[in-house]
Amino acid sequence: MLRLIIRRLLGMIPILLIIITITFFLLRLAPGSPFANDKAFPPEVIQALNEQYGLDKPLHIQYFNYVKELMKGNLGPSTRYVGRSVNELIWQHLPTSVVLGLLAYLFALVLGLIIGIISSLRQNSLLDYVSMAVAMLGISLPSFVLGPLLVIIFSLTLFWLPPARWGEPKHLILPALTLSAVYIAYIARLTRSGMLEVLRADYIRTARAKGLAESVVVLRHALRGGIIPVISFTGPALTFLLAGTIVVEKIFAVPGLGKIFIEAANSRDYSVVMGLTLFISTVLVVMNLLVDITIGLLDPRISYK
Amino acid sequence: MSQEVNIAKKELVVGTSLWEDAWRRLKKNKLAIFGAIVLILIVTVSLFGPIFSSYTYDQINLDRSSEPPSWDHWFGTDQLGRDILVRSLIGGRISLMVGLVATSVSFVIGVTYGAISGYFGGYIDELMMRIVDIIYSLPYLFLVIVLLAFFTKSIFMLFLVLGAVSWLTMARIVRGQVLSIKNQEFVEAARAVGVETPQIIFRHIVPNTLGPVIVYTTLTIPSAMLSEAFLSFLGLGVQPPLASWGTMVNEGIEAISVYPWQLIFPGLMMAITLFSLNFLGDGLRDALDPQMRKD
Amino acid sequence: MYKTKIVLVCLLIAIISLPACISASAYFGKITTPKNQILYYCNASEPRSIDPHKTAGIPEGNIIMSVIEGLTVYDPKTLEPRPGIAERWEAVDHAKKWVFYLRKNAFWTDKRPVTAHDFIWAWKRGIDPKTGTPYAGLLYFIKNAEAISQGKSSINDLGVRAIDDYTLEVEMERPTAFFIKMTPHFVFSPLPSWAIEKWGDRWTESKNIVTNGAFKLQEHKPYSQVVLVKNPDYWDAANVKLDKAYFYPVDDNPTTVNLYKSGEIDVMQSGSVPPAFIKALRHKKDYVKGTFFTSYFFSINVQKKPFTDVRVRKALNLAIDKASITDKLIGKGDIPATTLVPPGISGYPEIKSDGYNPELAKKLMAEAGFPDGKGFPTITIYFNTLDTHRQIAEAIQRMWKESLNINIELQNEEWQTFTARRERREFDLARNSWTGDYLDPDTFLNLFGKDVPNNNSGWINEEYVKMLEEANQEPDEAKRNEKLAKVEEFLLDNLPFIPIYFTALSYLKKPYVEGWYPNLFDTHPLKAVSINTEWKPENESIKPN
Repeated sequence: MLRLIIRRLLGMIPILLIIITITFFLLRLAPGSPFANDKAFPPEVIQALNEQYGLDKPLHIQYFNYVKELMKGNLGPSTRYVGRSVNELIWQHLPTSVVLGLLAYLFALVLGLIIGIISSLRQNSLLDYVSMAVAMLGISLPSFVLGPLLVIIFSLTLFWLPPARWGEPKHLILPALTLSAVYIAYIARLTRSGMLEVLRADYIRTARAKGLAESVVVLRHALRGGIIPVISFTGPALTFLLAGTIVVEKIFAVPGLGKIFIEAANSRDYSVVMGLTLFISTVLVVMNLLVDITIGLLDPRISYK
Repeated sequence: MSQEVNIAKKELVVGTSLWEDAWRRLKKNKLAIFGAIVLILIVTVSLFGPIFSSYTYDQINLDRSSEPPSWDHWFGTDQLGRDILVRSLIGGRISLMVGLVATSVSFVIGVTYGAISGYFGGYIDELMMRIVDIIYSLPYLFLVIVLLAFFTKSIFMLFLVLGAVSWLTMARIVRGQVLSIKNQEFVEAARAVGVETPQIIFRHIVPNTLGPVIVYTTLTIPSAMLSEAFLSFLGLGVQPPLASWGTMVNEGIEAISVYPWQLIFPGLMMAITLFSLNFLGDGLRDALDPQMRKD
Repeated sequence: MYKTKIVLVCLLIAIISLPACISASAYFGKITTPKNQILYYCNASEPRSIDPHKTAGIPEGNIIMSVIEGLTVYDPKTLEPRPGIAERWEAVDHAKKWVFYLRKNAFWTDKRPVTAHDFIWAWKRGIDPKTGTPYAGLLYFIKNAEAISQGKSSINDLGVRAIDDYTLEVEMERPTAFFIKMTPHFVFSPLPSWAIEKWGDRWTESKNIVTNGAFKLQEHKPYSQVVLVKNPDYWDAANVKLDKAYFYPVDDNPTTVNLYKSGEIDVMQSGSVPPAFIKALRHKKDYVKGTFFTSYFFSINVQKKPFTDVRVRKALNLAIDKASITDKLIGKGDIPATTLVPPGISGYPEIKSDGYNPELAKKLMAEAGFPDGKGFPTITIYFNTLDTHRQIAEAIQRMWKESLNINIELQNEEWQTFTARRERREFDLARNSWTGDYLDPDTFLNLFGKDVPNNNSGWINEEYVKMLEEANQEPDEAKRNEKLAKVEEFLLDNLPFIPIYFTALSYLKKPYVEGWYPNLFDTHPLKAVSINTEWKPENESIKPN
């Protein structure tokens, strides 16, 4: 197991390098400029700004300069926000995304698992249908519909919660709820199908035959195997949540990484897009590693050779 | 998807009973059949409904902008005074096609890729999964922007772009399943008897992963339909005055508290489609469940 | 399944009952009269910088103008220049030179006096290409500024001079009678050279910043808030009523309106009301209308056939029923446009031009060789992705099809891709709009000048450039306006663009906010703003809904 972890961590380096390289050239191929404006800047000003940020040099020189700085841990300056570095931007806004993302996922995990387990145990019962219908609703109600709906109900009609902004715990609730809906649905459905598979497996029969209490069978034995699809799903899902969720951050004016990313993309703030892509891919790779380890621990049937 | 099933069916000359069994069991599942009927209905009205309407999808009447549902306009009108019913039907054609394409790609590529990766394991698995990681990590937004800058925009491009990413998570899920199945007795048995590897993968292992695969497929469809709305934000996809459910819902959301019908009707059509798909998917899952077959 | 149906039905009922959100009450938002002189404002986006030379944005300008005072300040109603750091000024030599007499009681927040040298240092910095000033173009009216910026002249040749610490002389490139109207703009701000030299780009952080305005920057939390507090050492502090102002960087329009409705903000930037809401809100007492200084138009690529023919351009223009777009489609009180310069500039005559006339349009098309649209190529209207742009383009697409029988394709693009395309002139027709920078027709008319980066149409006309230059040098205001009107008539004769409408102001403001007037720039000097803590609704329920 330790060897696996070390190998995977070492394997990250070339992966990240490939991602950086492709992204770097992809960004430069996209039409637009960091200094584009509805009221065009005078050409001499654009030229001066390009020089200032080293964007006037040949592309491959820019690339090597970027990688060189990256080795020192410097993600470069933002062109959109004068005087702010990408490192600073990411560190400033990461906590927001982490808090919101984890809360939403925790919420989703608890509710999703409960719904999923119950439906699987009562397959084809009314309860099963209803919970699956609600779960389906969570999926078909995209966050840009659910968010405004929650705002209309809780902020503009009942006046219980603020409709947007960030800073106090009360600001957390609506965006976390909106964000979790889809994940509740996914997790519930994945749990249900995973559990259904496992509940008929031989080792569960054995457990039942041994006369173990149903709750022990379900929670200790079946769940272990049954939630493997959920865990596979957790890797990308958590990454998505940590990377920031553009729609929800927009609706609730939450200053997370998603907002930073979309603004940077719109204003072609190359170094910010690069920095965030790098950050997100690192998280993704680490998450997937964690997922694989967890699966290995949970399911005795899987072995890594 | 059904095409897939058919192809697979032909291949499985020996194992026909699996599919016949499944079909027999599916027929018994009322909910699934109901879902299938509703789906066929929606496809039919989307295809032929507009012919019977006295409006066209691009008929603007600024004097009747944003009217609530009435006898003239059953679903009301949008801000340009166009009939939302006709637009929802036309939009359905696009959204359904988008869902179908994304799903097929995700199904074909994702399942194959994931199964191969999971079955072989080791370095092959690692290489294949890292490729998935890389594609996953690239900023999709820029991938699309750059593609659009160099190629002409067309419906084919839309499908290409949608398909390009829809299979990634599927591949992951299938791989996870295969990892947990490949060492089970029946696979060992097949191997011992000398069944060839592709046959083991596609005839013995893949059918056993179909449960989660079908469930995930029903989850892919809504996200593909919404991705299409995102892509039309970038200028890829249907161009106005055409619209899809995704773009109609997107537009409607701003007017949610003023002209709710502009959101509700296209949204409802989308929701009904997704619900029926979901029931059908669940039915299929149950019908294909190998354990159930054994029982 | 039965339960599913119930869920669906409940959802349906819930959604259908939502319109109740906007009801018959006189005000849209929740109104609780505040007890303090604190203003909450939605400032549209996170400021890129609050350095006057590092930004071109309106949200940034709102903050800069609250904390740094220039020679003059805008009158909150008319936008005419009013004394700021300059107590008085005079134009010398037919406005070839301007002399500003600065007040002696103006200080920076670190107690240093504000002098003519602070202006000179700042303007030289703004001209220096190394600074990268987006608004450098406005400084180019000063003698030698453009040449310096292009490296053709030395920075010491800039036409500014301190006669003494409190007298600033500005020499213009050519006589510029309207220079004074520009001076309230933030790019002409004085700057604290010592602070900038010490902190570099970080001088604008709240712990480093040195300012001289009515308000001080207390806190800047990125993407969360900018907090301004009253500056007790400001020379006119006795007349400043607000104690504090919060600026929230919220760029999503529905979110802004939600914040307003729930009472979290008092007022917002114009244009923040989502188009769909306008018809439902326009009769509310807290909805503010007015004219804005923006012209919405289509750029025509005049270098491409068939647009090389002025008859085609005119026919396209004549065949748009603009009134029906502004009144029926948008409905926020925009003015259908037949010209380029928006109304509202005092003394500038109204110019008559062709209105909606589909018959004449058909005739012109036939004359141009396209009777009933025959032989006319399919053309594309490009626009950046936004519902309003799309709806306008869809309406025009239909109008042209109906009256001219020509086929139009619509293509939206992400903003950067679109802007790059417009700059490279790879379009037939492209959505465009322009907001004036100073209260003078020139800010619009020079859009079609030579070497103007925003002249997207590719229409370059020597005669036009000459006429405009001549008019601009006229020192007498009335005569100059007349000459400018002739220039605009000449432009409309050639029509390298299709005027569509002049944008209306559109925002929500709580009734207790006073001194916040609708004006052409949607700029609101905080100095004039106050909260009426005594405000009571007149005979009506304050409950929203």
